[in-house]
Amino acid sequence: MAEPGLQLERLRRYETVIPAFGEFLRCIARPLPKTVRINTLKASLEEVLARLEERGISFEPLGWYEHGIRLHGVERPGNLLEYFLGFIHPQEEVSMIPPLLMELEPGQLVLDLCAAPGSKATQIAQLLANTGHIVANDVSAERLKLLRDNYERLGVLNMGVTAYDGRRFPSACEFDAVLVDAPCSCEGVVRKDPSVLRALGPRLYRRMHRLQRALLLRAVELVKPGGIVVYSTCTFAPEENELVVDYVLRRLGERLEIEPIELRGLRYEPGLTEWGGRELEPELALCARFYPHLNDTGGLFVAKLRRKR
Amino acid sequence: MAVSLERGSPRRADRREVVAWWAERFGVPEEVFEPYDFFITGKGTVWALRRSERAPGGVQGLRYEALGMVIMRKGKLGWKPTTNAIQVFGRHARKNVVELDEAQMRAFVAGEDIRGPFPGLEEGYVVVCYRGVPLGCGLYRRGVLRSQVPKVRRRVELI
Repeated sequence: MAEPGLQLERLRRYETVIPAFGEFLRCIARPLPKTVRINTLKASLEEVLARLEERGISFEPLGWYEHGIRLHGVERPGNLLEYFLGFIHPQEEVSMIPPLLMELEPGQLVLDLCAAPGSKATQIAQLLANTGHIVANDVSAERLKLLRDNYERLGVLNMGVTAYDGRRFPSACEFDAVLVDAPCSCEGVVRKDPSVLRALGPRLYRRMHRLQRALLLRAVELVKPGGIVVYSTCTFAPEENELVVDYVLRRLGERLEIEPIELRGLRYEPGLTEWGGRELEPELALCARFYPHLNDTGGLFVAKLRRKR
Repeated sequence: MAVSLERGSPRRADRREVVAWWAERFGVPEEVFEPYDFFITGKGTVWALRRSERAPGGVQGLRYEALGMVIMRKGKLGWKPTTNAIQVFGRHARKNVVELDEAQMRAFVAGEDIRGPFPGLEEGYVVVCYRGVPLGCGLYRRGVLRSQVPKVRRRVELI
Protein backbone atom coordinates (compact mmCIF):
# COMPACT_ATOMS: atom_id res chain seq x y z
CA MET A 1 0.00 0.00 0.00
CA ALA A 2 1.31 3.45 -0.88
CA GLU A 3 1.82 5.97 1.91
CA PRO A 4 -1.37 7.88 2.72
CA GLY A 5 0.51 11.16 2.18
CA LEU A 6 1.15 10.27 -1.43
CA GLN A 7 -2.48 9.41 -2.00
CA LEU A 8 -3.73 12.61 -0.37
CA GLU A 9 -1.94 14.36 -3.22
CA ARG A 10 -4.81 13.19 -5.39
CA LEU A 11 -7.09 15.64 -3.57
CA ARG A 12 -4.67 18.52 -4.24
CA ARG A 13 -6.78 19.42 -7.33
CA TYR A 14 -9.35 20.91 -4.93
CA GLU A 15 -6.89 23.28 -3.26
CA THR A 16 -8.40 26.27 -5.03
CA VAL A 17 -12.05 25.38 -4.39
CA ILE A 18 -12.11 23.95 -0.86
CA PRO A 19 -11.82 26.73 1.74
CA ALA A 20 -9.16 26.32 4.48
CA PHE A 21 -7.56 23.47 2.54
CA GLY A 22 -4.95 22.72 5.22
CA GLU A 23 -7.68 22.27 7.77
CA PHE A 24 -9.53 20.04 5.31
CA LEU A 25 -6.47 17.78 4.96
CA ARG A 26 -6.03 17.55 8.74
CA CYS A 27 -9.72 16.77 9.21
CA ILE A 28 -9.87 13.89 6.74
CA ALA A 29 -7.02 12.17 8.58
CA ARG A 30 -9.26 11.91 11.66
CA PRO A 31 -11.90 9.20 12.13
CA LEU A 32 -15.58 10.11 11.71
CA PRO A 33 -17.82 10.71 14.70
CA LYS A 34 -20.35 7.89 15.23
CA THR A 35 -23.77 9.20 14.30
CA VAL A 36 -27.10 7.39 14.23
CA ARG A 37 -30.61 8.26 13.10
CA ILE A 38 -33.46 7.58 15.50
CA ASN A 39 -36.02 5.47 13.63
CA THR A 40 -39.49 6.58 14.68
CA LEU A 41 -41.30 3.75 12.86
CA LYS A 42 -40.95 1.41 15.87
CA ALA A 43 -40.77 3.75 18.86
CA SER A 44 -41.13 7.47 19.50
CA LEU A 45 -38.15 9.81 19.50
CA GLU A 46 -38.67 10.57 23.21
CA GLU A 47 -38.86 6.89 24.07
CA VAL A 48 -35.61 6.03 22.29
CA LEU A 49 -33.69 8.99 23.74
CA ALA A 50 -34.99 8.16 27.25
CA ARG A 51 -33.88 4.54 26.84
CA LEU A 52 -30.37 5.51 25.78
CA GLU A 53 -30.07 7.96 28.67
CA GLU A 54 -31.33 5.43 31.18
CA ARG A 55 -28.85 2.84 29.92
CA GLY A 56 -26.00 5.31 30.33
CA ILE A 57 -25.22 5.60 26.60
CA SER A 58 -23.66 9.02 26.13
CA PHE A 59 -24.83 11.09 23.14
CA GLU A 60 -25.50 14.62 21.92
CA PRO A 61 -28.16 15.83 19.46
CA LEU A 62 -27.00 16.92 16.00
CA GLY A 63 -28.71 20.25 16.50
CA TRP A 64 -29.89 20.75 12.91
CA TYR A 65 -31.93 17.51 12.72
CA GLU A 66 -33.96 16.27 15.68
CA HIS A 67 -33.72 12.61 14.64
CA GLY A 68 -29.93 12.56 14.47
CA ILE A 69 -27.56 12.04 17.41
CA ARG A 70 -23.81 11.68 17.84
CA LEU A 71 -22.74 8.81 20.11
CA HIS A 72 -19.81 9.05 22.51
CA GLY A 73 -17.75 6.03 23.53
CA VAL A 74 -19.61 3.57 21.31
CA GLU A 75 -17.26 2.02 18.77
CA ARG A 76 -19.87 -0.24 17.15
CA PRO A 77 -23.41 1.15 17.21
CA GLY A 78 -24.51 -2.06 15.44
CA ASN A 79 -23.98 -3.87 18.75
CA LEU A 80 -26.41 -1.71 20.71
CA LEU A 81 -29.65 -3.33 21.85
CA GLU A 82 -31.46 -0.37 20.27
CA TYR A 83 -29.96 -1.38 16.90
CA PHE A 84 -31.21 -4.95 17.35
CA LEU A 85 -34.66 -3.55 18.13
CA GLY A 86 -34.59 -1.36 15.03
CA PHE A 87 -34.85 1.86 17.06
CA ILE A 88 -31.65 3.36 15.59
CA HIS A 89 -29.77 3.23 12.31
CA PRO A 90 -26.07 4.11 11.96
CA GLN A 91 -25.95 6.82 9.31
CA GLU A 92 -23.30 9.39 8.51
CA GLU A 93 -24.43 12.89 9.46
CA VAL A 94 -24.47 14.49 5.98
CA SER A 95 -26.11 11.36 4.53
CA MET A 96 -29.23 12.39 6.47
CA ILE A 97 -29.55 15.55 4.33
CA PRO A 98 -30.83 14.46 0.87
CA PRO A 99 -34.17 12.89 1.99
CA LEU A 100 -34.96 16.06 3.95
CA LEU A 101 -34.81 18.13 0.75
CA MET A 102 -37.46 16.06 -1.07
CA GLU A 103 -40.48 17.89 0.46
CA LEU A 104 -41.98 14.54 1.41
CA GLU A 105 -45.48 14.07 2.81
CA PRO A 106 -47.33 10.98 4.03
CA GLY A 107 -49.14 9.08 1.28
CA GLN A 108 -46.69 9.90 -1.50
CA LEU A 109 -45.24 7.64 -4.16
CA VAL A 110 -41.44 7.91 -4.07
CA LEU A 111 -38.56 6.36 -6.02
CA ASP A 112 -35.05 5.86 -4.67
CA LEU A 113 -33.17 4.97 -7.84
CA CYS A 114 -29.87 3.80 -6.25
CA ALA A 115 -31.20 2.74 -2.87
CA ALA A 116 -28.87 0.11 -1.40
CA PRO A 117 -27.89 -0.31 1.39
CA GLY A 118 -30.94 1.72 2.33
CA SER A 119 -30.03 4.42 4.87
CA LYS A 120 -31.74 7.12 2.85
CA ALA A 121 -34.58 4.86 1.63
CA THR A 122 -35.49 3.97 5.22
CA GLN A 123 -35.26 7.63 6.19
CA ILE A 124 -37.74 8.35 3.38
CA ALA A 125 -40.01 5.65 4.88
CA GLN A 126 -39.77 7.49 8.20
CA LEU A 127 -40.61 10.84 6.57
CA LEU A 128 -43.69 9.19 4.97
CA ALA A 129 -44.57 7.70 8.40
CA ASN A 130 -44.75 4.23 6.80
CA THR A 131 -47.56 5.32 4.44
CA GLY A 132 -47.68 5.75 0.65
CA HIS A 133 -45.25 3.62 -1.31
CA ILE A 134 -41.50 3.67 -1.89
CA VAL A 135 -39.81 1.85 -4.74
CA ALA A 136 -36.27 1.14 -3.57
CA ASN A 137 -34.24 0.22 -6.64
CA ASP A 138 -30.67 -0.94 -6.99
CA VAL A 139 -28.86 -2.78 -9.74
CA SER A 140 -26.69 -4.82 -7.35
CA ALA A 141 -28.34 -7.99 -6.01
CA GLU A 142 -25.76 -8.31 -3.27
CA ARG A 143 -26.38 -4.78 -2.02
CA LEU A 144 -30.14 -5.35 -2.22
CA LYS A 145 -29.77 -8.04 0.42
CA LEU A 146 -28.33 -5.41 2.78
CA LEU A 147 -31.19 -3.07 1.91
CA ARG A 148 -33.75 -5.72 2.78
CA ASP A 149 -32.04 -6.59 6.06
CA ASN A 150 -32.02 -2.92 6.98
CA TYR A 151 -35.57 -1.99 6.09
CA GLU A 152 -37.10 -5.08 7.68
CA ARG A 153 -35.13 -4.49 10.88
CA LEU A 154 -36.35 -0.88 10.91
CA GLY A 155 -39.99 -1.96 10.60
CA VAL A 156 -40.54 -0.43 7.16
CA LEU A 157 -43.79 -1.68 5.61
CA ASN A 158 -44.32 0.74 2.71
CA MET A 159 -41.39 -0.34 0.55
CA GLY A 160 -40.98 -2.54 -2.51
CA VAL A 161 -37.61 -3.52 -3.95
CA THR A 162 -36.69 -3.62 -7.63
CA ALA A 163 -33.39 -4.51 -9.32
CA TYR A 164 -33.38 -2.53 -12.56
CA ASP A 165 -30.42 -0.76 -14.07
CA GLY A 166 -31.44 2.74 -12.99
CA ARG A 167 -30.61 4.17 -16.43
CA ARG A 168 -33.39 2.01 -17.86
CA PHE A 169 -35.90 2.04 -15.01
CA PRO A 170 -39.29 1.42 -16.69
CA SER A 171 -41.93 4.12 -17.11
CA ALA A 172 -44.64 2.47 -15.04
CA CYS A 173 -45.95 5.52 -13.18
CA GLU A 174 -45.18 9.15 -12.27
CA PHE A 175 -43.46 9.52 -8.92
CA ASP A 176 -44.08 12.43 -6.54
CA ALA A 177 -40.35 12.62 -5.82
CA VAL A 178 -37.19 10.80 -6.91
CA LEU A 179 -33.84 10.47 -5.15
CA VAL A 180 -30.69 9.86 -7.21
CA ASP A 181 -28.00 9.16 -4.63
CA ALA A 182 -25.61 8.21 -7.38
CA PRO A 183 -22.72 5.76 -7.36
CA CYS A 184 -19.56 7.88 -7.27
CA SER A 185 -15.83 7.94 -6.60
CA CYS A 186 -16.66 8.30 -2.89
CA GLU A 187 -13.94 10.84 -2.04
CA GLY A 188 -16.09 12.13 0.81
CA VAL A 189 -15.94 8.70 2.48
CA VAL A 190 -12.14 9.01 2.91
CA ARG A 191 -12.41 9.40 6.71
CA LYS A 192 -14.13 6.02 6.95
CA ASP A 193 -12.23 4.29 4.17
CA PRO A 194 -8.92 5.85 3.03
CA SER A 195 -8.58 3.20 0.31
CA VAL A 196 -11.05 5.19 -1.86
CA LEU A 197 -8.10 7.44 -2.76
CA ARG A 198 -6.35 4.65 -4.63
CA ALA A 199 -8.86 4.44 -7.48
CA LEU A 200 -9.08 8.19 -8.16
CA GLY A 201 -8.15 9.62 -11.53
CA PRO A 202 -9.56 11.06 -14.77
CA ARG A 203 -10.80 7.69 -16.03
CA LEU A 204 -12.89 7.03 -12.95
CA TYR A 205 -14.31 10.57 -13.00
CA ARG A 206 -15.23 10.19 -16.68
CA ARG A 207 -16.85 6.79 -16.22
CA MET A 208 -18.84 7.96 -13.20
CA HIS A 209 -19.92 11.17 -14.95
CA ARG A 210 -21.46 9.20 -17.84
CA LEU A 211 -23.31 6.85 -15.51
CA GLN A 212 -24.52 9.67 -13.26
CA ARG A 213 -25.89 11.86 -16.02
CA ALA A 214 -27.78 8.89 -17.51
CA LEU A 215 -29.29 8.17 -14.06
CA LEU A 216 -30.28 11.79 -13.52
CA LEU A 217 -31.80 12.10 -17.02
CA ARG A 218 -33.89 8.99 -16.33
CA ALA A 219 -35.00 10.34 -12.93
CA VAL A 220 -36.32 13.51 -14.55
CA GLU A 221 -38.41 11.36 -16.92
CA LEU A 222 -39.85 9.44 -13.97
CA VAL A 223 -40.96 12.32 -11.74
CA LYS A 224 -44.36 13.98 -12.14
CA PRO A 225 -44.61 17.59 -13.37
CA GLY A 226 -43.99 19.78 -10.33
CA GLY A 227 -42.17 16.95 -8.54
CA ILE A 228 -38.72 17.06 -6.92
CA VAL A 229 -35.59 15.21 -8.00
CA VAL A 230 -32.74 15.32 -5.49
CA TYR A 231 -29.30 14.45 -6.86
CA SER A 232 -26.52 13.64 -4.42
CA THR A 233 -23.05 12.10 -4.27
CA CYS A 234 -20.43 11.65 -1.57
CA THR A 235 -17.58 12.98 -3.70
CA PHE A 236 -15.89 16.34 -4.21
CA ALA A 237 -15.21 15.81 -7.94
CA PRO A 238 -16.97 18.51 -10.01
CA GLU A 239 -17.08 16.03 -12.92
CA GLU A 240 -19.51 13.97 -10.85
CA ASN A 241 -21.40 16.87 -9.35
CA GLU A 242 -21.88 20.26 -11.02
CA LEU A 243 -20.86 18.92 -14.45
CA VAL A 244 -23.57 16.25 -14.23
CA VAL A 245 -26.26 18.75 -13.21
CA ASP A 246 -24.97 21.22 -15.82
CA TYR A 247 -25.28 18.59 -18.55
CA VAL A 248 -28.84 17.68 -17.54
CA LEU A 249 -29.87 21.35 -17.28
CA ARG A 250 -28.50 22.02 -20.76
CA ARG A 251 -30.29 18.98 -22.15
CA LEU A 252 -33.62 19.43 -20.34
CA GLY A 253 -33.46 23.02 -19.12
CA GLU A 254 -36.87 23.88 -20.53
CA ARG A 255 -38.43 21.16 -18.32
CA LEU A 256 -36.35 21.58 -15.22
CA GLU A 257 -35.37 24.17 -12.67
CA ILE A 258 -32.82 24.14 -9.94
CA GLU A 259 -33.88 25.27 -6.47
CA PRO A 260 -31.85 26.57 -3.54
CA ILE A 261 -30.87 24.22 -0.73
CA GLU A 262 -32.40 25.51 2.47
CA LEU A 263 -30.89 23.98 5.57
CA ARG A 264 -30.28 25.66 8.91
CA GLY A 265 -27.62 24.73 11.42
CA LEU A 266 -24.98 23.28 9.06
CA ARG A 267 -22.20 25.08 7.19
CA TYR A 268 -21.85 24.50 3.47
CA GLU A 269 -20.41 26.03 0.34
CA PRO A 270 -22.24 26.91 -2.89
CA GLY A 271 -21.91 24.75 -6.00
CA LEU A 272 -19.09 25.63 -8.42
CA THR A 273 -19.85 27.77 -11.47
CA GLU A 274 -16.46 27.27 -13.05
CA TRP A 275 -14.11 24.26 -13.25
CA GLY A 276 -11.03 23.54 -15.27
CA GLY A 277 -11.36 26.85 -17.13
CA ARG A 278 -14.91 26.04 -18.15
CA GLU A 279 -17.89 28.25 -17.35
CA LEU A 280 -20.94 26.41 -15.99
CA GLU A 281 -24.59 27.47 -15.65
CA PRO A 282 -24.60 30.27 -13.01
CA GLU A 283 -27.55 28.76 -11.13
CA LEU A 284 -25.32 25.82 -10.17
CA ALA A 285 -24.32 28.02 -7.24
CA LEU A 286 -27.67 26.91 -5.76
CA CYS A 287 -26.26 23.40 -5.20
CA ALA A 288 -24.57 22.68 -1.88
CA ARG A 289 -21.13 21.28 -1.04
CA PHE A 290 -20.58 19.89 2.43
CA TYR A 291 -16.90 19.52 3.28
CA PRO A 292 -15.70 17.35 6.19
CA HIS A 293 -13.97 20.16 8.14
CA LEU A 294 -16.97 22.51 8.06
CA ASN A 295 -19.16 20.36 10.35
CA ASP A 296 -16.86 17.42 11.30
CA THR A 297 -18.65 15.02 8.93
CA GLY A 298 -18.09 13.15 5.68
CA GLY A 299 -18.45 14.87 2.32
CA LEU A 300 -21.63 15.49 0.33
CA PHE A 301 -22.77 17.24 -2.81
CA VAL A 302 -26.48 17.83 -3.30
CA ALA A 303 -28.70 19.48 -5.92
CA LYS A 304 -32.45 20.00 -5.72
CA LEU A 305 -34.28 20.02 -9.06
CA ARG A 306 -37.95 20.53 -9.82
CA ARG A 307 -39.67 19.37 -12.98
CA LYS A 308 -41.66 22.28 -14.37
CA ARG A 309 -45.43 21.95 -14.59
CA MET B 1 -21.44 -15.05 -2.97
CA ALA B 2 -24.82 -15.78 -4.44
CA VAL B 3 -27.73 -13.94 -2.99
CA SER B 4 -31.20 -15.35 -3.23
CA LEU B 5 -34.02 -12.95 -2.86
CA GLU B 6 -37.33 -14.69 -2.69
CA ARG B 7 -38.49 -14.35 -6.26
CA GLY B 8 -41.69 -15.24 -8.05
CA SER B 9 -44.47 -12.83 -8.83
CA PRO B 10 -46.47 -12.20 -5.69
CA ARG B 11 -50.12 -13.15 -5.49
CA ARG B 12 -52.62 -12.09 -2.86
CA ALA B 13 -52.48 -14.16 0.30
CA ASP B 14 -55.62 -15.37 2.05
CA ARG B 15 -56.15 -12.38 4.30
CA ARG B 16 -58.53 -14.16 6.66
CA GLU B 17 -56.06 -16.99 7.24
CA VAL B 18 -53.20 -14.59 8.07
CA VAL B 19 -55.22 -12.40 10.42
CA ALA B 20 -56.89 -15.40 12.07
CA TRP B 21 -53.53 -17.04 12.77
CA TRP B 22 -52.12 -13.98 14.58
CA ALA B 23 -55.37 -13.64 16.53
CA GLU B 24 -55.47 -17.32 17.45
CA ARG B 25 -51.80 -17.71 18.41
CA PHE B 26 -51.07 -14.32 19.98
CA GLY B 27 -54.42 -12.62 20.43
CA VAL B 28 -53.42 -9.77 18.11
CA PRO B 29 -56.62 -7.82 17.32
CA GLU B 30 -57.77 -8.04 13.72
CA GLU B 31 -57.81 -4.24 13.24
CA VAL B 32 -54.03 -4.07 13.77
CA PHE B 33 -53.64 -5.53 10.27
CA GLU B 34 -56.28 -3.35 8.64
CA PRO B 35 -53.78 -0.95 6.89
CA TYR B 36 -51.90 -3.80 5.19
CA ASP B 37 -52.23 -6.03 2.14
CA PHE B 38 -50.79 -9.53 2.20
CA PHE B 39 -48.96 -11.30 -0.59
CA ILE B 40 -47.60 -14.81 -0.86
CA THR B 41 -44.64 -16.09 -2.87
CA GLY B 42 -43.06 -19.49 -3.42
CA LYS B 43 -44.03 -22.26 -1.03
CA GLY B 44 -45.60 -20.05 1.58
CA THR B 45 -43.75 -16.81 2.31
CA VAL B 46 -46.21 -14.13 3.40
CA TRP B 47 -45.42 -10.42 2.97
CA ALA B 48 -47.20 -7.44 4.52
CA LEU B 49 -47.31 -4.19 2.54
CA ARG B 50 -48.85 -0.92 3.64
CA ARG B 51 -51.90 -0.27 1.44
CA SER B 52 -51.43 2.85 -0.69
CA GLU B 53 -53.92 4.69 -2.87
CA ARG B 54 -51.10 5.87 -5.14
CA ALA B 55 -49.88 2.33 -5.82
CA PRO B 56 -52.37 -0.36 -4.78
CA GLY B 57 -50.47 -3.63 -4.40
CA GLY B 58 -47.30 -1.86 -5.52
CA VAL B 59 -46.75 -0.09 -8.85
CA GLN B 60 -48.35 -2.11 -11.64
CA GLY B 61 -45.87 -3.09 -14.33
CA LEU B 62 -42.78 -3.24 -12.09
CA ARG B 63 -41.06 -6.53 -11.33
CA TYR B 64 -40.51 -6.57 -7.59
CA GLU B 65 -37.80 -8.54 -5.81
CA ALA B 66 -39.44 -7.86 -2.47
CA LEU B 67 -42.75 -6.25 -1.53
CA GLY B 68 -43.02 -5.08 2.06
CA MET B 69 -41.92 -7.21 5.03
CA VAL B 70 -41.86 -11.00 5.28
CA ILE B 71 -44.10 -11.67 8.30
CA MET B 72 -44.44 -15.48 8.28
CA ARG B 73 -43.40 -18.62 6.46
CA LYS B 74 -44.96 -22.06 6.17
CA GLY B 75 -42.75 -24.64 7.90
CA LYS B 76 -42.88 -28.13 9.37
CA LEU B 77 -44.64 -26.83 12.47
CA GLY B 78 -47.15 -24.73 10.52
CA TRP B 79 -46.88 -20.96 10.21
CA LYS B 80 -43.73 -19.43 11.67
CA PRO B 81 -43.67 -15.69 12.35
CA THR B 82 -40.49 -13.75 11.56
CA THR B 83 -38.52 -11.89 14.21
CA ASN B 84 -39.02 -8.68 12.20
CA ALA B 85 -42.81 -9.14 12.26
CA ILE B 86 -42.78 -9.94 16.00
CA GLN B 87 -40.86 -6.70 16.64
CA VAL B 88 -43.64 -4.76 14.86
CA PHE B 89 -46.85 -6.65 15.62
CA GLY B 90 -45.78 -8.49 18.80
CA ARG B 91 -46.52 -5.47 20.96
CA HIS B 92 -50.23 -6.18 20.37
CA ALA B 93 -49.90 -9.80 21.52
CA ARG B 94 -52.02 -10.86 24.52
CA LYS B 95 -50.89 -14.47 24.90
CA ASN B 96 -47.89 -16.71 24.31
CA VAL B 97 -45.71 -13.82 25.34
CA VAL B 98 -42.65 -14.43 27.52
CA GLU B 99 -40.67 -11.80 29.41
CA LEU B 100 -36.94 -12.43 29.89
CA ASP B 101 -34.44 -11.11 32.42
CA GLU B 102 -31.26 -9.42 31.23
CA ALA B 103 -29.06 -12.52 31.10
CA GLN B 104 -31.76 -14.43 29.25
CA MET B 105 -32.25 -11.52 26.85
CA ARG B 106 -28.53 -11.55 26.00
CA ALA B 107 -28.66 -15.29 25.33
CA PHE B 108 -31.73 -14.87 23.14
CA VAL B 109 -30.15 -12.08 21.06
CA ALA B 110 -27.03 -14.25 20.65
CA GLY B 111 -29.19 -17.05 19.23
CA GLU B 112 -28.88 -19.41 22.21
CA ASP B 113 -31.40 -21.72 23.88
CA ILE B 114 -32.85 -20.73 27.25
CA ARG B 115 -33.91 -23.28 29.85
CA GLY B 116 -37.34 -22.80 31.35
CA PRO B 117 -39.83 -23.85 32.26
CA PHE B 118 -41.92 -20.78 31.45
CA PRO B 119 -45.37 -21.26 32.99
CA GLY B 120 -48.39 -20.11 30.98
CA LEU B 121 -46.70 -20.61 27.66
CA GLU B 122 -48.13 -23.02 25.10
CA GLU B 123 -45.69 -25.06 23.05
CA GLY B 124 -44.92 -23.50 19.68
CA TYR B 125 -43.85 -20.06 18.49
CA VAL B 126 -43.88 -17.29 21.10
CA VAL B 127 -43.33 -13.54 21.38
CA VAL B 128 -40.14 -12.96 23.38
CA CYS B 129 -39.93 -9.63 25.24
CA TYR B 130 -37.46 -7.73 27.37
CA ARG B 131 -38.82 -4.95 29.57
CA GLY B 132 -42.08 -5.15 27.63
CA VAL B 133 -40.52 -4.62 24.21
CA PRO B 134 -40.74 -7.52 21.74
CA LEU B 135 -37.29 -8.86 20.81
CA GLY B 136 -38.28 -11.54 18.36
CA CYS B 137 -39.56 -15.03 17.77
CA GLY B 138 -38.86 -17.96 20.04
CA LEU B 139 -39.81 -21.63 19.79
CA TYR B 140 -40.97 -23.12 23.10
CA ARG B 141 -40.71 -26.91 23.31
CA ARG B 142 -40.30 -29.28 26.25
CA GLY B 143 -39.48 -26.48 28.64
CA VAL B 144 -36.76 -24.94 26.46
CA LEU B 145 -37.03 -21.60 24.64
CA ARG B 146 -35.10 -21.69 21.37
CA SER B 147 -34.11 -18.37 19.86
CA GLN B 148 -35.33 -18.04 16.27
CA VAL B 149 -33.37 -14.85 15.64
CA PRO B 150 -31.85 -15.13 12.13
CA LYS B 151 -28.04 -15.41 12.01
CA VAL B 152 -27.61 -12.00 10.40
CA ARG B 153 -29.55 -10.39 13.28
CA ARG B 154 -27.77 -12.14 16.18
CA ARG B 155 -25.39 -10.23 18.41
CA VAL B 156 -22.88 -11.84 20.74
CA GLU B 157 -21.26 -8.62 21.99
CA LEU B 158 -24.44 -6.74 22.75
CA ILE B 159 -24.04 -3.33 24.35
